[in-house]
Amino acid sequence: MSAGTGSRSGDLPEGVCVDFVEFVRLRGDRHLRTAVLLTGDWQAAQDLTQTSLAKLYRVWDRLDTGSEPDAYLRKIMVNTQRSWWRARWRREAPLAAVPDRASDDDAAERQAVAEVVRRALLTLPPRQRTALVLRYFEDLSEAQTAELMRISVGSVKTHAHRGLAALRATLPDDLLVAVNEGAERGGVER
Amino acid sequence: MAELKHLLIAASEDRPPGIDLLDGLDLPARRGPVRRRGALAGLMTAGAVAAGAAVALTVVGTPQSAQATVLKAVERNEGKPYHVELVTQASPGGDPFRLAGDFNPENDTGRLESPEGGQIIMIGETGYQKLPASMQSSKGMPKLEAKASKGSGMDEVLPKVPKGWKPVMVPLGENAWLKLPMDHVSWGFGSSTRSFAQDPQGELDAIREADQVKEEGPVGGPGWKGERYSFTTPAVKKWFGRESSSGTVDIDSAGDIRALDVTLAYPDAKGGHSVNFKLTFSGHGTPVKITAPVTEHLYTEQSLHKLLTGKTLPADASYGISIY
Repeated sequence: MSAGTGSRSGDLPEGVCVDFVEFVRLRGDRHLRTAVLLTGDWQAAQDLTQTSLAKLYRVWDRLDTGSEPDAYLRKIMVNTQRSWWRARWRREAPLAAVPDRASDDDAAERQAVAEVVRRALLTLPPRQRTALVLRYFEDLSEAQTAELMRISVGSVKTHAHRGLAALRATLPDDLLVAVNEGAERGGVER
Repeated sequence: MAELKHLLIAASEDRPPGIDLLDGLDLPARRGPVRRRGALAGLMTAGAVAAGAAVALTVVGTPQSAQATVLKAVERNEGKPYHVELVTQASPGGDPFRLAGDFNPENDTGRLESPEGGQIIMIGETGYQKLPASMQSSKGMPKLEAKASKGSGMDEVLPKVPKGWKPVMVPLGENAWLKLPMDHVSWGFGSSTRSFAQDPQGELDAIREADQVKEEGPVGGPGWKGERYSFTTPAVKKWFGRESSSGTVDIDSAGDIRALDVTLAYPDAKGGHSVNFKLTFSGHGTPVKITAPVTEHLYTEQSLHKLLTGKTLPADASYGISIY
C-alpha cells in the first residue's frame, strides 16, 4: 500500500508545502513500517510517524535540497520514540482497537507472523530493538546507527548481538530457523 | 543478514486499512510560497540569494542560539548521574506530590523515594516497587457488585463493605518488593496526581521538541549562577487529545541543568486539566550505584495477587498498587 492512502490534498490548508505533502505520500509508508517495528502496534506507529512528520514540517523550509529528509525524519523518529520511552511513567497505554481484516488464509497467516515477530521485538529492551531495526530493516551501517542512537559503535554491536540472542530465545522454532541461518552466514558483529 | 531483514519486513507488512498519514497532521499554512532553501536558491538571482540568506539568519539564528544552549544542556544531563527533587501538582484540585531520587541516564537506572517511605527502583525495563510490611487480603470477602450510579456523573460506584466483615492483613515481610515491568509501574500510583510520577529525563526530553526558546536572564542558587530560559512546545495530538508544554529551565555556568519548571496542558480534557512538574537537579557527576533490591521477600505481580486474593492474575494484566 502506498503512503498517504486516501488523497486529501484538497483538505490541506492553503499554503502548506506541496513538496512536503508529496514527500509524505512517497515516503510515509516506509517510515510507518519502521515505526511499527519500533513501537509494536500500528496505532502507536501512526502516532509516532505523524508526530515526527509534524516536527519535520516545522523545519522543512530550512532544509536545503542537499540534505536528506529521510535521514532527518529517521533521526526525529528515533529521538521521539526514545523520549516516549523515557516519559513512559506519565503516559497511559493506548488501548489499540483490533482492526477489521480480510479473512483469507494467506492474509491471516501473514498477520500472525507479523504479530509474532513484533511481539518478540517488543520483549527486547528499547536499545536492542532500535539497533536491530536500524541495522537490519533500515540497512544503516553500524556508524550511522551509532550516530542516530547517540551511542558508540561498540554499543551498537553489543545491543544488536544481545537483541539477536534474545530473539532466538523468544521466536518460535519455525521462524527461528531463518534467524539462525542469518547469524551463521554473517552474524551481527560485522 | 538477509533472513532477519526478511522477518522484519514480514513484521511490517500487515498494515491495516484506514491509516492516512496526512489525516490529522497539524500543518500550519505558511505566509508566502515556501520551498526548501536550496530550491528557492535555484530560482533566485545571486543578490536575492544573499538577501534571503541574511533574512534566514536573522529570523532563525537568534532563537537557535538559546535553543542550542538548552539542547546541549539536556544532552549533557544524559551523560552522567544526578540527584533530583520532584514536585508534581495537577490542576485543578491536585495536592503537591513529592519525590526525590538519583538517576543514572547512561545506563537507564533510577531510584525514587517518597517522604512516606515508598520507593521505586528502575533498572532498564524492569521496575521494583517497595511494598508495605503487610497488605489487606480480599480472601473471604463477600462478592461486591459494582452498581451504576444515577446522576452522579460517574460510571459506577462500589457498595459499602457489609457489616461484620473484617479485613485480614497478610504479612509480606519487612523488606518486601514487587518486581514488575516498568510499563506496569505507571499504574502504581493511587491518585490522579500520583499517576504522573515521572522520569526526569523524560521531562527534559520534552524540551527537545520546543519550537520557541528564549533567554530570560540571570538566575542562581546555592553555589551556582546561570541563565534562565523559557520554552514552549506546540500541541501534539495524542490518542487521548492534545498535549502541549511550556516552562523554564535554569542552566548553570558549567552548562548543567539546575532546575526545570514545566507545565503539561491538556486543552481537550474537561476543565482544562494541566500538570506542573518542578524538578531541581544537583550532584551532577557524583557516582550513583543503583541495583535491584536484595531481599528474601521479592514478589511478582502473579505471586502477590495469588497471595492476596487466592486467584490467578489474568494474562497480560498489570498489578498496580499505590505507592505509600
